[in-house]
Amino acid sequence: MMVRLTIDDKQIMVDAHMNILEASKKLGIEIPTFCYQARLSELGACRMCVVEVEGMGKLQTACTLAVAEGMVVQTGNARIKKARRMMLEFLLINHPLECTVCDASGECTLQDFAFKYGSAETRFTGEKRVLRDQIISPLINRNLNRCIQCKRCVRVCDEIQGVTALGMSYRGADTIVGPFMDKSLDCEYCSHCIWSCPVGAITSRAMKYRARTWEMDKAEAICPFCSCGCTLHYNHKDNVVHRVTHTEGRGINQGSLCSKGYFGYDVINHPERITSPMVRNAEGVLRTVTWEAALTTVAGKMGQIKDDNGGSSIGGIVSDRLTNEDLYLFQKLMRSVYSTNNVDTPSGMWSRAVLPVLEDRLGVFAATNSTDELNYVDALLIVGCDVTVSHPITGLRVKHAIHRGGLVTEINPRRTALSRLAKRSLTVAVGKELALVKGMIAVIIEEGLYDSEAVKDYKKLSDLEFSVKEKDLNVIARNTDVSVDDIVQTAREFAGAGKAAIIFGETAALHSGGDLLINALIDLLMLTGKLGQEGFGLYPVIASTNFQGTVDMGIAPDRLPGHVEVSSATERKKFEKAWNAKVPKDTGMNALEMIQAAADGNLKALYLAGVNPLATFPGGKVVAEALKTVEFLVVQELFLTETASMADVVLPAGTLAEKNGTLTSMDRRIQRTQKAIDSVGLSRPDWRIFSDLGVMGGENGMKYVNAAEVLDEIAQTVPFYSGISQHILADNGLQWPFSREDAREKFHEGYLGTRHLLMDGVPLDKRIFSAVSGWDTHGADSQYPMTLVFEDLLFHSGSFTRYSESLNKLASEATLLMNPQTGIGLDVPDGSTVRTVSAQGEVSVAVSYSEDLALGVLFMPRHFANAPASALMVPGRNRDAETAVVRVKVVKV
Amino acid sequence: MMKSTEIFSARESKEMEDILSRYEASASAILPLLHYVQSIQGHLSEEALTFVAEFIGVPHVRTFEVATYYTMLFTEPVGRHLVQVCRNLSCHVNGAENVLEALKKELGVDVGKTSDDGLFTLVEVECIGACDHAPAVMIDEDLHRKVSEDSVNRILGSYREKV
Ligand code: SF4
Ligand code: SF4
Ligand code: SF4
Ligand code: FES
Ligand code: FES
Repeated sequence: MMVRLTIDDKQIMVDAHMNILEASKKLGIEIPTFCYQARLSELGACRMCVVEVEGMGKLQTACTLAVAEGMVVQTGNARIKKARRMMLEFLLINHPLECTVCDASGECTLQDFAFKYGSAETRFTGEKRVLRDQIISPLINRNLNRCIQCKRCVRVCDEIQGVTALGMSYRGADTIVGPFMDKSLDCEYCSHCIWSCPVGAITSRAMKYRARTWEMDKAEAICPFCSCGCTLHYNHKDNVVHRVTHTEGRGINQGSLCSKGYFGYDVINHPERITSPMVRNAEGVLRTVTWEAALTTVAGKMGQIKDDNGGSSIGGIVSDRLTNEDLYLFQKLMRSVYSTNNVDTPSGMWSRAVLPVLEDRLGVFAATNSTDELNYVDALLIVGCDVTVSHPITGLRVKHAIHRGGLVTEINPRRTALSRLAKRSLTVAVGKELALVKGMIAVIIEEGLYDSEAVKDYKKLSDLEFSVKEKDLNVIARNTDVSVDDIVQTAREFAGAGKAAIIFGETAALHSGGDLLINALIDLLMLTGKLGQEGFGLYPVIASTNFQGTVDMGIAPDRLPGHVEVSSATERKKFEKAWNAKVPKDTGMNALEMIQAAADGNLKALYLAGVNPLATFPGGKVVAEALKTVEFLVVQELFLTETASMADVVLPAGTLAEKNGTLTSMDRRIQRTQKAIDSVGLSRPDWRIFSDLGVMGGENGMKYVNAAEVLDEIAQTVPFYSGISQHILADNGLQWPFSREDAREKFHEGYLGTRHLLMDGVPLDKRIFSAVSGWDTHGADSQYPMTLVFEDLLFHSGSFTRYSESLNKLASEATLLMNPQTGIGLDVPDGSTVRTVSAQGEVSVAVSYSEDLALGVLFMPRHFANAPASALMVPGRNRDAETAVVRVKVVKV
Repeated sequence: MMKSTEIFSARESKEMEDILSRYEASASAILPLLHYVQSIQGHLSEEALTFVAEFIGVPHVRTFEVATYYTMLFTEPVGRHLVQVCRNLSCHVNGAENVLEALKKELGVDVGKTSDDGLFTLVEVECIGACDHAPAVMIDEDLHRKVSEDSVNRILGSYREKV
């Protein structure tokens, strides 16, 4: 419904749901506010926004008053001005006015309003309130004297982040904002409270006294830490990034960030960055050399190995954190210059586990729907991951859905931060998820809850029915340790929901029988008709920042850019023509095969760009062996990692803050990221290094002046990136596939491309249920009876964030989590050190008890130096996918 | 999560369940439960606040907010007797200030503190509804009317005798 009202003598028609503040904004009238924030609940506490409404005696708060037909409003007459002046005077009674040293100075609402609406004099001569403690955590400062008690921090922590770590305690003039019992903060460090505070009462310690707000320039970039694809602004001065900011409403994150995005920027100007190329000299010592010398060494040696042993003796593994341009050039260098298809990325293990199933069953190779659609789901299954940790901003969408009454069921071997908020959290041992999903399918068939219209032309419905009936619900319940009622309710909720989707993560996909589980999840979506519409679909989630980019750019031993097969002669021809070079026809080796081949002496040269296999690859000893044995090892890196220090040549690369380019989020959104500072030291952007090496290798087609030129080539060779340019991506980015015309003409009107796949439904030839047989995808192993799950941490992603001093303050060491009952059974007390042994190797690590875990399941982060996952992960035991979950035994020391 | 039976007797646990069941929205039970727990333990310890929060299913900081807001709830141990001096208007104009000073002197403590013998904790409160007998002081559940500097000693004495 619309209503007409008059504000400052101007008439306007607005939606009846609006408040006076929003309506005034439409007319371009600014009303000052402190406690109001669009995303938060109404409070009406500060009274800064008062207006005069005809017929209402007292001044009214514009932020809480709804518009009404015929209302006549004044927003700035003398009476209002006086009231605002008085409000400000009250606030300033206790405000310390230390603007000269306050980090919020320059963007402080109180400062601005005191200037604009206040009076230059104060009538108050008493002493100001001085409150104690200023520090509430390693990364967040609190200065209570500056607090104006608007409660924005408290509300944002509760309403948006769902953590409720802050409260308003005590009362009257003594009211303070702070954590439980006035202790140190124990929270998600999402930075929302810092962002929400209109003054300098809650600030980042990482940025304290580093730079004044107005001295810094800002560059818009994409966060390098996970595949959510958040937009952030690097604030920099004198070629140093001093902080990260974000803008309300901007990007996939809509102005939110997580701890990594907000605090992790200190990796950029870290003092240990490699600032110059290095080559190992005759004495075996890495020595600083010029770029010229380093590149000549690489080009010469690679050329020689190629001539002597053929391209198949060269391999390259590239990080999934790099831009599409970097990735595209990397595989082009490998294929067209070094004549090898030995191209892979660490998340290739994930892609090979998940994508074949998605392609086979649905004909897609990405998440089907957009992450922001999760905001409005009515039912959601989250299987085998903690999305609030691996993908914090996607996690926020889930929290939003819960806030709206969405029914979220978690199926995971441990309880998570979502468990308290979700409708139900089913703690299920690894491998038993399949039984649970089949139980749900059984209920849906039994009760006739499936979408009969959708399944009408599906094949094998009876097989599906048969496959799930083999076991009684009571037996399933007993085996999974979940009640029958929970299975039935989850099934009913999911089938009955208007919008329902499934998220699954690494624990689900990367264990021995993960493919069966994914197939069962797809059966569930097909059966209930939850595909091909907004709010439906399947979201495979892996943290690796640009893993979708690696898939799209052909970072795989069997795929060329555009996800086409290397084995296809037509496709190879196409690229040979575009590149004016030969493309090798044999499928190459994947990363683990390359490592093995290097250890065996069959792979002579290995080019590692931004990967640290010693810390993160399965195989432990084999990896070390491979790096030692391989004749020529090139490592392109930011830091002298354990892997880089073994290299023959070290090439210093740049972070995302130092280059232009594009990244593709997990929901297929291609986004632009912009350079903030010049390359640190002598480092260079990755694409530039690949380009130079290509030219030195004799390929003039590898010559590019800038990243935009690379993007132009991508736009020509990758069909679903066709027509893309930095310019077109400037506003919101584009979700592939998109219409070239719409992209060109409507990108600034919010055209985003394809929001969800399968709009015409599941392809006809794929309308078949897989009717997975079996009930346990993990099984038992008497020699290694425990199941160890490698987890992501909220404060770290990959080995990259280990270089963030800030994030290390929050977590920097691995411990082995287990249920106290498991610990008592094993006779290993909380805090004691144990040997954790797998078929691959072992690590010594301290035990930490947690009630959140399922019995018999252990959790450990994967990338801390004190317990590297690499030592335990078993390469190719079943498939190379078995990398998130390994079987171990725990030995008391 | 702590179980109620780990900290409280069976009867007390039962009583808390009863209190909780009286409210449709469990968060509404926060105040009566804090009162009850304080009546057993004398004050609201961190453990007690954590327990009550988890018992009714609200974030921990919520019980802390409530406990620090009300002058009748204590987050630190208090003496055996609680001396509450009204500082509102009627009492103020009738000499509450002097009464407070006399109490401070007699007990040897500042406002908010507990006497060395652990017998008395001195606090200031807002109007206790005894304006017609101002200045008023409440000790535990007893109201003392028209208190003067001179009567302070006698009043405290009667509590000392009770020990
Ligand atoms: S950082 Fe986030 S979780 Fe922590 S107190 Fe602030 S808003 Fe709450
Ligand atoms: S700390 Fe900042 S956001 Fe929180 S109440 Fe105080 S002024 Fe408002
Ligand atoms: S959610 Fe992911 S992309 Fe967003 S800020 Fe956090 S780490 Fe960066
Ligand atoms: S902004 Fe309206 S009352 Fe604070
Ligand atoms: S003012 Fe003291 S009892 Fe009312």
